[in-house]
Amino acid sequence: MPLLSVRNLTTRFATDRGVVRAVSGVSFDLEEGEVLGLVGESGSGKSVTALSIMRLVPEPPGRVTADAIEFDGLDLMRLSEAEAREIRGARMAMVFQDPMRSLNPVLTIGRQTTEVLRRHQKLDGKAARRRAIELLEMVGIPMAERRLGAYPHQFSGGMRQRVMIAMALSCNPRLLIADEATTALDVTIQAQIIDLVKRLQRDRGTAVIWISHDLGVVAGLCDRVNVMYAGTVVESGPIRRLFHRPGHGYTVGLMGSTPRVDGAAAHRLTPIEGLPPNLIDPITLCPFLPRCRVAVAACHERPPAPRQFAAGHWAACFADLVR
Amino acid sequence: MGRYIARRLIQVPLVLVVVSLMTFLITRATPGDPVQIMLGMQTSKEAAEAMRKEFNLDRSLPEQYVLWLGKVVSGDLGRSIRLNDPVTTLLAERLPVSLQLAAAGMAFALLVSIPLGVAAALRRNSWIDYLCTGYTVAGFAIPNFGLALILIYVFSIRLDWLPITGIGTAEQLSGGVWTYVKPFIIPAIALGMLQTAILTRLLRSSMIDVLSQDYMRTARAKGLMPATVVVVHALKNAMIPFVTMAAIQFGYMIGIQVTIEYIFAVPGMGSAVLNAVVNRDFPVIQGFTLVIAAFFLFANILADLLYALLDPRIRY
Repeated sequence: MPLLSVRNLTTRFATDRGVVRAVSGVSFDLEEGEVLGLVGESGSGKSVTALSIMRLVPEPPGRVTADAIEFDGLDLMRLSEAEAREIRGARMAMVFQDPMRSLNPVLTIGRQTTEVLRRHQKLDGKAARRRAIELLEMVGIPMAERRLGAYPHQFSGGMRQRVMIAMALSCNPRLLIADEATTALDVTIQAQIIDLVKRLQRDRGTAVIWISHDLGVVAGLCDRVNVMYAGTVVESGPIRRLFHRPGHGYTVGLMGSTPRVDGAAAHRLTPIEGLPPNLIDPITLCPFLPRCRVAVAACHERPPAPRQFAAGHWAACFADLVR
Repeated sequence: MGRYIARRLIQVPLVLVVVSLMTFLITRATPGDPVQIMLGMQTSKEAAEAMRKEFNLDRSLPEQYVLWLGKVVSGDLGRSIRLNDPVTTLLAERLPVSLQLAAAGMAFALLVSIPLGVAAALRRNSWIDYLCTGYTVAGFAIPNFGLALILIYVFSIRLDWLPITGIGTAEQLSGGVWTYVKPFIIPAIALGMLQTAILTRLLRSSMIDVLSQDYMRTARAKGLMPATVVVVHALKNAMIPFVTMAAIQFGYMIGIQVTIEYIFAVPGMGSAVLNAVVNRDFPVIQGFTLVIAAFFLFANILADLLYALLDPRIRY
């Protein structure tokens, strides 16, 4: 049984101009200890998928529906808000994009790290403090004890993200969701944070959903990838297979527009022309069709159904890209 | 920090000199002779001259100002022309009364604005938010003396629940807290209504701003209890502008409570200044204005210090 099983997740937001379907009908499984990448451009529904699983979508204006979101033997859709609070931060945790803005500016690092421990593990002040020091040392913060009294603005961006990771892992969650966790950081710091997550993930067997628009980062970290476009998963597969034999027109375009360090000098970047569709309008055919370079006749007739290419590799695309 | 405070404190006397000079010029520029008002029309010229001499009113304006300023520096605010008491004695009687009234007004403003501002921000576009908007509009629109008269009519005359005039005095404390607090209620509401409106609106908007910040999502992602999320994570941030504004408004209240003191016959600084203006009692006007201005200045410095105290990112 998978650790997380999402079936037909749809998240809508009521706006002044109409209902936006940020996520429509997303389904996937995540095994224990597996690292799953969610890739796609801004607005493709990656973050909203994660927030929906965490039950952090504000309702209203949001509205989350799903046939089921099963996690660790629980149906998350059936949990009350009070029950969801017991899970959040304890059994599933999340790290966000901008570590400056994700930490509370007026509370000390110590306070922000210990409050999770006191809340979920019922540790008293002293024990929570000791554990917080351990956690901060674990994520590579030197002289952690002396820095408990510091405020976020006294830390560098990379250090702040380490603090966020320490907080997220403090109650030994079974699932860690990292939403663009390295996007706001310098490239060298990015590599450090990725190494840290990889190491902690292996040591603890934590399952990770890694959200990024950066295919390179995903390639270095994930076992499997879901490619998202316009609120749907358009392709899913093991990382190596998907990179060598992409099965969807969008995945092909995404890889063509990503710089490669290993490739030949002749490799030119080809941007994907056009803009993603407006998610207020109903989408009947393949959402990527207006921008697709490999479209075939069938694409203009009906929406594509997922096609299986190999075990665990499928794409919703009519074009015969995988041979 | 110490240097910043020192720099701000050095500015205080400079501002006070400007304020006192302006007060001096305005009082002298308005028609009305304090001696004539004091002694009446029938008095002999000699008596009037003697009195003018006594209060240096026979000298030139620059001389008068410099003489006054010289005494102020040594702690002497002069004597009241009308009451013949030293201004400092009057101040010692009336300042505590005014401070109590201002404190009561601010207490009312805080008691209402904190829960109302927070509730309105948490439940935007709900009935409580509309109530908050209506309340703040009313607070800005109704002049405090008008509100005072309405409250007196309803709660003192019609319902006879609360006294018509006066505020609590220290002696009443022996009769229990309620006997002391009771006479403060109407004056405090009338005085604090505008500040309540200002502070409620400020807290509502700063709270809404804080609630949309990324760190609030982090707090919820940690599974913290809603009370912790709101009070520790949101309110602590939203209170930073609120507390500084409250300090500034407290300094301001001491100056604007003149009408309230007059209506409720409260023997505070405001009613004393009002009488002094009517009687052209120059030393009292100047002395009291100086003290009111000093309060305002110190309230502002206090606001800046509180800002640094509450927000760890601010260092002077």
